[in-house]
Amino acid sequence: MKKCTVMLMAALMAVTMLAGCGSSASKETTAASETAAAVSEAGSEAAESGSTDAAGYTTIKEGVLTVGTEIGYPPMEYFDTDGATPIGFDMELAQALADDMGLKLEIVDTAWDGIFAGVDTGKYDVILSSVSWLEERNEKYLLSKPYIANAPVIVVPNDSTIADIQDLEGKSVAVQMETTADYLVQKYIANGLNTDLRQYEKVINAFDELKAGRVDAVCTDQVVASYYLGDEASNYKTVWESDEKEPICMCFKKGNDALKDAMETALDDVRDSGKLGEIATKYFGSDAPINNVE
Amino acid sequence: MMDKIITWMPQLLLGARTTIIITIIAVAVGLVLSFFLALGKMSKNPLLNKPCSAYIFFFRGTPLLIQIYFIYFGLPQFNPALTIKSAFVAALIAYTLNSAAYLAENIRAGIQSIDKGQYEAAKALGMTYRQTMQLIILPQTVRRLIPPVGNEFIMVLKDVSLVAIIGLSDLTKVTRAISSSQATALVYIPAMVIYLIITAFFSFIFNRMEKKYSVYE
Repeated sequence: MKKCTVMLMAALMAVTMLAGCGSSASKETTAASETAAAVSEAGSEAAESGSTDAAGYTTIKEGVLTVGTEIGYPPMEYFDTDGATPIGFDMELAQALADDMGLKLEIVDTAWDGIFAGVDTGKYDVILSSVSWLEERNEKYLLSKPYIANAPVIVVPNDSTIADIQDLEGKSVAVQMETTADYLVQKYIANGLNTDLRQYEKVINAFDELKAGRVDAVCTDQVVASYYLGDEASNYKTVWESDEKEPICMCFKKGNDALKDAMETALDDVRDSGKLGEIATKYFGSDAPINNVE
Repeated sequence: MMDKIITWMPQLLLGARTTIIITIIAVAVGLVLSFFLALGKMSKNPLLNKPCSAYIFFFRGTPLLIQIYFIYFGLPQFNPALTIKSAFVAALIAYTLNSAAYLAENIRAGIQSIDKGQYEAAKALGMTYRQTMQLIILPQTVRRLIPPVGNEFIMVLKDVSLVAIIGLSDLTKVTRAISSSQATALVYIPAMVIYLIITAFFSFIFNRMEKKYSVYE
């Protein structure tokens, strides 16, 4: 009887260890854990050599355009009400581009603070995740020409007295970690602005904080602000827009010019065919953001 | 390379300070709370043992990440009056409540491991339950509790890395922030070294405590 129990426990342990090794689950408890599983699955498939298309570029997986993105940034990339289907401007654009290039589309959901490392290490071909054009980014990675006009803005409650970034003096502002809004506020802080910067993993947390009254303002991309304001427009307002425009572009590994050129051509096709305007109107209410792109 | 690490040290140490403070408060206050929980759970009175069991079941049965998230972001959505203004306070609450649940079981085990003879002798001397616990049983359990409590402390030290989701800058968050803003994985090395030093320091302290309390064994 005792021997039976011991054998049973040993068998159970062996089975759970095998199951643990089999899946790519990591022991981290952050949100990155699910994304790490998705990313490493894509990564193990990346071990197969990519194909060279007749068009002259290679993708990690033959016949598939693998796109890295951080799902959780409405209206650009977020989950549908079922909690599993990615939707959003970037997602539909990715599908349109893949269709135009004759490739299948695979989306890899990645935590934002590892997303650039992922394109360098070949976890995905391109990042389509509201990547703002920044000088530093352009040096380390290959950025395409922009497809959406964008700039950081400040969102405050309707009754707030904040009207300018300098009004954040002595107040608190929430941002999403490692975004351009985060860097922008840090730059102002380095130049003497005395504000309490609160950084969060997901942009929605920053807006939760604003709603809960724990911060006085949120600094984020204009495109995101318009989504949240759309939901609760009567309670909040956008009060300031940075002069430093940060148009959104696609991000590739440095040197991957072939794929970048191919995707820019596809982008032109999608724009000319009117599909880009269609997607823009669906998510922004008008196609203004896709024009006036610098 | 070393000069880069030196520039990162101030931020890393600030993060380490937050980590250590949360850990110490959570385990210390959690320990006090857990004594009452353990005694409550062991009580014959259902008005005591049912809520204590339920509490322990809930806090051990749900992930710490969800607990933190719920306390900070979830509660305000149910009732704005439940908004905890400070993320630091919310973290302290979450970690304390969580640790208390795990420690309560350790304490219960410690108490139950004391020889029944001790209770009998105390009864023979005419001591009340309360006196027995206070003067005879609990002092003996202290020595037995040091390894589990030390263990919990070291676990909480690493679990504190979850506070990043409510915007607190602990050592892990600072490390990740430096890593992604400067595109380097090098910073993980000093971060791990700092964790090891903290762990070694507290392990040493717990060891000393254990030796001191083992005098009578």
